[in-house]
Amino acid sequence: MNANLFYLAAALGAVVLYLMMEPRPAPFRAALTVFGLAAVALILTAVAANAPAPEDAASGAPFGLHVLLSLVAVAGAARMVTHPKPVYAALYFILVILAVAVNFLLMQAEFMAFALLIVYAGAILITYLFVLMLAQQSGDRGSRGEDASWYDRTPREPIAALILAFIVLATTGDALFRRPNALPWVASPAETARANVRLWEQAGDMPGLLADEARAVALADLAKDPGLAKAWSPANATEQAAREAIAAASVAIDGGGRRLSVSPDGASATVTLRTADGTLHPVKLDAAAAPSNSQSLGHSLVAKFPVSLELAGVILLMALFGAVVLARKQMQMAEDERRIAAGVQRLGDESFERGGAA
Amino acid sequence: MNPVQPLLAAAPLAPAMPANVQLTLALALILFAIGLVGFLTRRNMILMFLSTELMFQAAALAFVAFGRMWMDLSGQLMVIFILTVAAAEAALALGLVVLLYRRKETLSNEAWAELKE
Repeated sequence: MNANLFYLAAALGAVVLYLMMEPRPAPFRAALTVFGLAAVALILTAVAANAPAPEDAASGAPFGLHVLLSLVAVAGAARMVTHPKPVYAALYFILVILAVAVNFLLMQAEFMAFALLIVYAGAILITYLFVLMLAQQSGDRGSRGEDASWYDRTPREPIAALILAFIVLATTGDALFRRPNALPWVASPAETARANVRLWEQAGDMPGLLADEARAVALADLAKDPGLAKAWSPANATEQAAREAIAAASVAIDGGGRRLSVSPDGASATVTLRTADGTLHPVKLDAAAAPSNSQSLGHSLVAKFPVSLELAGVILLMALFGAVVLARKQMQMAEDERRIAAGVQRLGDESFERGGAA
Repeated sequence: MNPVQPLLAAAPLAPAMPANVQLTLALALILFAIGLVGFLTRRNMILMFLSTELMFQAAALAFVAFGRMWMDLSGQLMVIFILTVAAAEAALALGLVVLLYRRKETLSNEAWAELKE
């Protein structure tokens, strides 16, 4: 990383953020936007300076798309912390969430991308908007009777906050990016193979899906080469009989209790289908049959982190109880009213009757 | 099973591009710094909590980027728990803010400075 460029760009960004905190005329705002985006682009350039050229990677999302998303996310975030109207700030935060969700998609976290959209943009932010509108509908005079939203337009300690944030950004960026090989940045071939073998082993724990995939691959092979029909149904070598044999086949389990054997590089796996008459047919599954992100994530959640999953459930339950307790309206009642509401008679009080009919 | 990965004929999971991981981490750092600025400079209590949500986003982004780098799903699983905590925080914090607003009719945090004593 180019350290001096990184610090300079971060300082420029801090200055732009400081100037954004007060309402400004339109041309000034346009200039701030240009300078702010330039600062972010410079930070990204400084960080990705010594990365290998994007073209020679085997896979991956377009580099330019990442840069564009980063610019959108940072612009939305900067506007969110500086906008004088709270509702607009919340809407800008939704923009940040959209950009982050697309970034998740590019990082092959498809499930998390959509969970983020649904939970964050769909639920949490709507809660925030509700509360914002609830709290502002009565024209918010403030307890001191002054101007409605002075506290939304006046930043508190902006210079100290920006210096602190600059220090956080500079030190963390330095720790992560200063030495070119502090982190590997890309998994080695051996790690990639291990990750893929783990992925296939998860497929082995999902017998129904695995059988469906194996049958689909066998049917596709049969459609390509009708000569295979004799192997699948020796008695009646028609294509129709072979299809029925495949549909009735089940996945054989080998001596080690495994349903599939994975190639050492993790690129493919072999499943053995057992037909009704007991013959075994190996079927080779390629990458397209590997578990998808959400299947694999669900498997890990239940198989690797069941306690954390339960704890998350407990946290949500406690939050539910807490919200109910907080939101309940507290009524001030006299002692007698409380007794009447509970339907309890005071000892030695004959004038009290249940139902209120005296 | 996965229609999103047709590019990856060689292996189900292909390694990430280093530049993309670095960019995502840098974005996470910048978002965290901006969220910190927002938390410290905003006077509206709801927007202070919104700024912490921005910092949550930055942490989630860093988790996903590191998970992609090591080709491990644990990073994405952590994001699920971040979402859980964020949802719980939104429910409780906003409930508290509404309670406070009912008493003083303002969202300014300075109206509640006496709470620190």
